[in-house]
Formats: sequence, structure tokens, C-alpha cells
Amino acid sequence: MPVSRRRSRKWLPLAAAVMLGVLAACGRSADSPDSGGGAASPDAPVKVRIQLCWVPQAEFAGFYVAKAKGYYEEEGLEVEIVPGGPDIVPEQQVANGSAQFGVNLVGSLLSHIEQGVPLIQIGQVFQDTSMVLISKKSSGIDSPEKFAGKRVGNWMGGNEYEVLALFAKYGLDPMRDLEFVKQSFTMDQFLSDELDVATAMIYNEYHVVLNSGYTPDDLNVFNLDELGVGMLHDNLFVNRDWLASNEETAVKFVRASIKGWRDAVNHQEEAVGIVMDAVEEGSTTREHQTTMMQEVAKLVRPDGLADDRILFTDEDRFRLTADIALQFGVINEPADISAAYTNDIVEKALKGL
Amino acid sequence: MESQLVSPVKTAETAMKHPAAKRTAPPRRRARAGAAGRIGLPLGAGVLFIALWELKVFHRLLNLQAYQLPLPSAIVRAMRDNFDILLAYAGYTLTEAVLGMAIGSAAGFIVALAATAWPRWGSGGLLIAASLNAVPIVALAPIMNLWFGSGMGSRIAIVAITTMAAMAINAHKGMNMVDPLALDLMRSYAAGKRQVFRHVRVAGSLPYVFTALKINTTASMIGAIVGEFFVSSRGLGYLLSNSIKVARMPLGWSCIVMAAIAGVLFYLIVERLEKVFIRWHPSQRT
Repeated sequence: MPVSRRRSRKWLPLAAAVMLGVLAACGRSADSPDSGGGAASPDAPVKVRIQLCWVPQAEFAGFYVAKAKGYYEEEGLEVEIVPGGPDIVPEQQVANGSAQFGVNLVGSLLSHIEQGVPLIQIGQVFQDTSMVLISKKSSGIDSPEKFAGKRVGNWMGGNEYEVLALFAKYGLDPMRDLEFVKQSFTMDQFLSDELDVATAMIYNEYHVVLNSGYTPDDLNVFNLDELGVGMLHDNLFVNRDWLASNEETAVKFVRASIKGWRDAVNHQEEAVGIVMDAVEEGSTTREHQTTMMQEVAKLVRPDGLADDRILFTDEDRFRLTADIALQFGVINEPADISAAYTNDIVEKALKGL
Repeated sequence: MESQLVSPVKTAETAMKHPAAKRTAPPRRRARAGAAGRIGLPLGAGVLFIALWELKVFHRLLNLQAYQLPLPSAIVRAMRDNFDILLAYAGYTLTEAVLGMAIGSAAGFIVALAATAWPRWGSGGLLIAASLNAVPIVALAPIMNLWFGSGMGSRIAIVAITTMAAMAINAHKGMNMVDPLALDLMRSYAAGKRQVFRHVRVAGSLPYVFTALKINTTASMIGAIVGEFFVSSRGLGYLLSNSIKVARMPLGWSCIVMAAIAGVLFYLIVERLEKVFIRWHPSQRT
């Protein structure tokens, strides 16, 4: 018998075994992303997950308070609060079913909806814009026109829309007239003058800068609402297809969340205590979270807003955000406002309170 | 007297055809048909693949939506609408890749030189180069950013580190894989160590050096793009990661297409250089 024929017989079963092993491993490692929204039995709590847009902090106090005080449990929900991070996109997690609820910026939501992602906003957490641009008074940059030729920073990844809108409004080309730089999530670049103008959240990074030896008089704060390019920020959204068959779960979740946010806004010290239990060791201090809670409370329930308007989406503000988004290139087609958000869930939730 | 062994040989005046010889096409036409098959078949397969993609056959097979896997027409549209920024960023990323590869390959070559010239002390350098290669870019990126700032420098450093090992190992092999007979010949010429190096070892290592360069072209593009994922405000990697975050998938795929084209061009250029520099090697003559 020729040698070659004997050899080929030997490797065939080995190759087959390797193939089988690979296929078996692939089969076992594929897990279904749909892990919530259905109950095993009528009495078992419904498991849902909410994907946050950043790490645990007072920005999301209402949800943590609702979980800690058992409001979700009362509604028959078992809620897992999933922290976000630099590379996590809540819209994608909600779209593919990894989470049932998501929190992120309205501008980002509109952009995703335009791309065909089936999302819908069911609640507005922050009623005002929370993002500002800051520069040092010593730099002399006291108006957006003076941004030309300077280094302006933003975290990008969906946060840059308002800043791009500001550039467009003042005729600045981010590629030619100035340097639009990706900002890290510490404020070191701003403090060390690597950045002339930095983006900051009024409840977070702004106070980090104040705690680093600057007083409010040392800084120029550019309020994007006043400059006419402010867009709405933190909102609660779901997958439209999931909502169609799980409306009751959504209503229960929103009801418990409203209770949690009311408590957070009205009993801030208690809320800070609950948030501190949820934060990562060493990532923040109680003082920082207390300041954050104060600012966040102003955003969730601005002066003059009644308690029972918490989480409601204001149509005029939403329309303004959509208009700004269209005008400055965040979205290319006018958004369908009636399809992008709904107050139905919040209204149904209030009925049970 | 004429030798009786010699007799005049008659040769045929016209070419004789062997009765069993079949009629074959003239060589030039055969080559053209072969070339058409070589290019036509893959081209046809590519066109078919894109057609199936556009008609959403893969979407149906893999249960995907259009926003998860954009159609080729959407990708082409995104490329057309954003061509100037894609081109600028491709140039930026390619610059990082080329410069990083040049520095990394040079460093790797020097390490191999040291390891060959002084085997007892130099071989440690090879180990260090190999261990640097094992450091994942995830860990390298923030450190390089601290050392070299957030400009091109940090990505060039990442690419340099990741391309060093391939060159070091290949060049070292090439310098040591010399024909013992050649070494004997040099010894018979009373050639010094430096001359042996120049004429035999380094020249002989060139095929291996070019192999490493070809490997490094792909590794350098990957290193540049992944480095930009972590810290960058410009470049294909930055645009790709940002597009994914805002669900602008067609733009993200355009970045992928541009990166692939740039990588292939880079590889072809190095292959051309190889043909020029080692024309004497059997692999280029067959």
C-alpha cells in the first residue's frame, strides 16, 4: 500500500474530532441576549435591567433609591441596575435586548432613531440641559467667537452634539477653525491647560474643577441653553417592540421610579447614603455626591415644577431639542416627535400612585 | 583516409510533427484565457457576494436588521458623503502605521544584529522584544498616552512596540541561517567578523527581513487603529469607534473599507520593494 494513502486515513478522524469540538464549544457559548421581561410563573417577580449611561452616582439617584426602598419589589419587579462606562452605549444594549430600560441623552436617542434603531422615550429624567463649556477667565476666552484657534474638548461618543451645534451657530469649522479634541473623563487636561475650553456636566465635572482650587469667579461658564443650542439630556427609553408586549411592566417600572425620584429630590441626604452604597470603592466622596445630588435635584425638578411632573416629557422642550438637532446636523431628517417619545406610560404610572 | 565510422547525418529540412501530438492552442492565447479565469472568477464571486448582501440575504440568514448590518448602498453613500474626512483620516492613520513600523522594524533589526553579533548577551534582547509583543494594546495605549501625549506620538509608539518582535525574530533567523560553506569561504578569504556580517549575514537576512516587513504592514495598521480607539481625536480608529457609539454604522463600515484599502496598498508597496531589493533570491526568480 502506498504511504500517502495510509497517512490520509489517519488525519481524517482527528480533523473530524477537532471540528466537533469547535462546534460544541460554539454552541455552548452562544447565550441568548433576551434575559428579561418575562416571568417564570405569575407570582415570580419580573426581572428587568436598566442600563445607565455612566458609573453609579447621584445622577441616577432616583433609580437606586427606588431599588433600595423596595418600590420596584412592591410592583413585582426585580430590577438590576447596570452601570455604564466609556464604551457602553445604552441605546445598543436596549435595542439588542440586553437591557429593557436605558438612560442616555436625547440627542443620542434621536440619532439612533434616525438610523432605524427601534427606540422610544418614555420619560424625561433631566428637564434642563446639564452640560456646560468652561474656560479659565485667565485665558480670555469669554465668548464662543473666541474659540477660534483654541483647543476645545468633549468626551465625544454621543456627547458632542451640543458643542457641534454651538460651533455651527458661530460659524466655526471643527476641522479647520479650531482643534476639537477628545476629552478624557478626568478634568486633568483642562486643569493642566492642555485644553483651553472643556466640556463639563454642571453636576459633576464642574464641581471637580471647583474642588481643584478654582472658584466660580475664575471660570467662564458657557450655558448652552442661554446660547440657544441646549438639548435635553438624561431620558428613560425602551425598545419599541418590547414595549408593545410589555407595557404593564414598563408602567410598573416608571411608577416605582417616580416614587424613587420624588424621595431622592425631597430627602437628598438619605439618597446620597443609598448612592454611596452603590458606588465603586474609592471612586468618589460623600461630599461630591452630595453636591451632585443638589444639582441633579434641580434638573429633575426645576423650580416651579410640581412633584407629579417628574419624568414627564415637555413637548415644547423636546421639539426644541429636535429642531436644534436637525438644524445643526445631529440628524438629517426632521424627527417624528410623536413617534420619538410618549407620555402615556408616565400618565398610566401616575394613576396608580 | 575517411573513417568508416563517420557517416553524414541527414537532418530534416522541415519540422516533423509527432503523429500522436494533439492540436493545442498557441501559447499566448492560453495565457490570456488563464488570466481571465484568475481575475474573472474571484471578481465574479465578489460581485455575487455584494449582490447577496444588498438583497438582504445575509440579513435573513443571520436574523439581522438594517441598522445592525448596513447595506452596501448605504456604505457607498456614507463613503461618498464623507470622502474628504475619510481620506484625511486614512492618511493620518497610515502615517502613524508607516512611521511606527519603520521605527519598530529598525529597532527589531538592531536587536537581531546584537543577538547575532554577541550571542551570549544579545539573545536576552530577543526575549525582551518577544515579551513586549505579548503586551496587549489595551494596556499599552494608556501608558503610551502618558509618555507621548495624546497626539500621533502615542500611536506611533504602540505600533513600534507591536512590530518590533516580528522583525527581530525573522532577522535573527535570517542572519543565522547562513550556508556554512559560505562562512568557510569567507574564512578562507581571511575576512573579519564585520565583513562576514556585511557580506554574508545581513545580505542573506534580507529575504527574512522582507517577510517580517510584510507581516508588519498588517500588524501596524491594526496597532494604529486600535491605539486610536483608546486615545485619539482623529484617524480611522477614532472615527470608527465614534460612529459605532452614535449608531452611524454606514460611516463605521466606510472606515473599515478605507482601512482595508490602505492596508492592502501598504502591503503591495512593500511587496514591490521586496522585488526590487532581493532580485537575486530564488523566490523572486521562479
